[in-house]
Amino acid sequence: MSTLADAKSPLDSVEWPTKLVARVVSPGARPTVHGYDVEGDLARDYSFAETVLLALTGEAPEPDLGRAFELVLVFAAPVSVVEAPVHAAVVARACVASPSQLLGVAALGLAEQTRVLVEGLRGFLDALSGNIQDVAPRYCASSDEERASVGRLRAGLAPFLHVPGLTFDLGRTAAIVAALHACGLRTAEQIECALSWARLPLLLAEALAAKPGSHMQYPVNVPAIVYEEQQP
Amino acid sequence: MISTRVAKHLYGENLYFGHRSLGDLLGTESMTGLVAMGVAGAQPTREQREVLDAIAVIVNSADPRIWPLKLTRLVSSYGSVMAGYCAGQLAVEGERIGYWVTGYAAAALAELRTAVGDRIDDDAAVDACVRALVARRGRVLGFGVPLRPSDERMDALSAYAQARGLDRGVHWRLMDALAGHLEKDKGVPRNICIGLAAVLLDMGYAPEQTSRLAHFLSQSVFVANACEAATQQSPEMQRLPPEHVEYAGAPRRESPRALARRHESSAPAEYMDDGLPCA
Repeated sequence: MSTLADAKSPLDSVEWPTKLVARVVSPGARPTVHGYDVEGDLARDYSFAETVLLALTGEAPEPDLGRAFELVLVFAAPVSVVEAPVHAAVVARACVASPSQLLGVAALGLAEQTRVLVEGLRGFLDALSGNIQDVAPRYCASSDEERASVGRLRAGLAPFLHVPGLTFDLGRTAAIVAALHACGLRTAEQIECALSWARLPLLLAEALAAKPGSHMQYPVNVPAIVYEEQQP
Repeated sequence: MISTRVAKHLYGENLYFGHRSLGDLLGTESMTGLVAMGVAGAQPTREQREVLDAIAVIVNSADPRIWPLKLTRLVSSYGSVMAGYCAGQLAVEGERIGYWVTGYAAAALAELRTAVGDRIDDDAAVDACVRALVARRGRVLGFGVPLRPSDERMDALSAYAQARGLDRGVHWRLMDALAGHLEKDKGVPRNICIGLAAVLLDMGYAPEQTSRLAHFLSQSVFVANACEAATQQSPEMQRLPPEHVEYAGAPRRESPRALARRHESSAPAEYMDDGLPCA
């Protein structure tokens, strides 16, 4: 006797592929990244940052490019508790979130922060991909402090990489994005991934430094949220 | 300072959008009503709540092979209900797949509503506005049904709308006009999202609220798959058998640095099983 469980589904009307395709990391006992052997080749000759750049671009970087990329990632890494992703992770820690839950909260918050950040720089990114002649004021440094920070980035990169965008008076975030672009990350999604990845370790470190279950020590009224009375 | 209309915890009571949860809502309001209040801030009427409940049943399409549900199960396969549940939610906040599309369909209907104005009974004017909308937008979200000739959820919603008189709503009528054009001229049938958009707009919700409502009313599909997958902890979900994976990336190759190192040391290449050298 046939049952509803035996009945055909529209999903059964298609001849679906039978295999999932791997394109970057080869599955198996001896994995490769874009063809390069991880254990015998990359682990011996490439830094972790260089392996990430290889993964995102498909090409093994030259030493100077790898060093430049690493330097930019370190510049991009700090994200402090004033910012929502870290704040959220600290609250999760206060709620005794497990490491996997903490990582989920952190990664999600970070991905959102980075998405908005890169979205705000979309026009600038487009300009970087063309022949950049000028930079809109919204991408420029807004203080001497920021200008000094970009100066340090420029000086740090100078021995390794010429970043065309850094000839302008850029703000810190735009400068980091310009440097990532010069490292070979051309698309907004590549830059989003690199920025999120760069920030995740320090974010997690901050959250892990908070005491688990410390919700009674958490400043619940920062920032203040006030209920607005309304008629039902 | 941030203001909120959502809630305030008091001694002995919880306010929720101006209502006393324990004093007013308990015993009269449903889960659906609370969700609708969460989306729009206003309590639905009993009739509206019944429609929302019907929608929740109509959109209860939970086959685990549907892409966002499959990913829900993959992430929940290690035993955490919430991890898979959250992952599934993230995958559908957009205009490509899932009930979030309702808001984009609603935006098109709202645009059509503005264009038609008070000429809703003028068939020629409505038709002209429909054609202008389609010409302007090209693709109208809420149309197109994969794998089957019609969307069974839309069919059910149509029957329900007819039985309840919802098909007399302005946005429902505009959807019919739009569907008449797209189905007849272009052969693209309507799907559930345009129907949900019409019903929810006619209930007074804003286009962006229709996305949220349609999505939150479909939570059963994520809950069921996350719960079952977390209970099963299927090894096949956690790790695919090798016969179901193929590698289509770059062929095995030696990196420039490994090559240089090997040449400097005159060391023989270490050959992999496939005969290509590695470091």
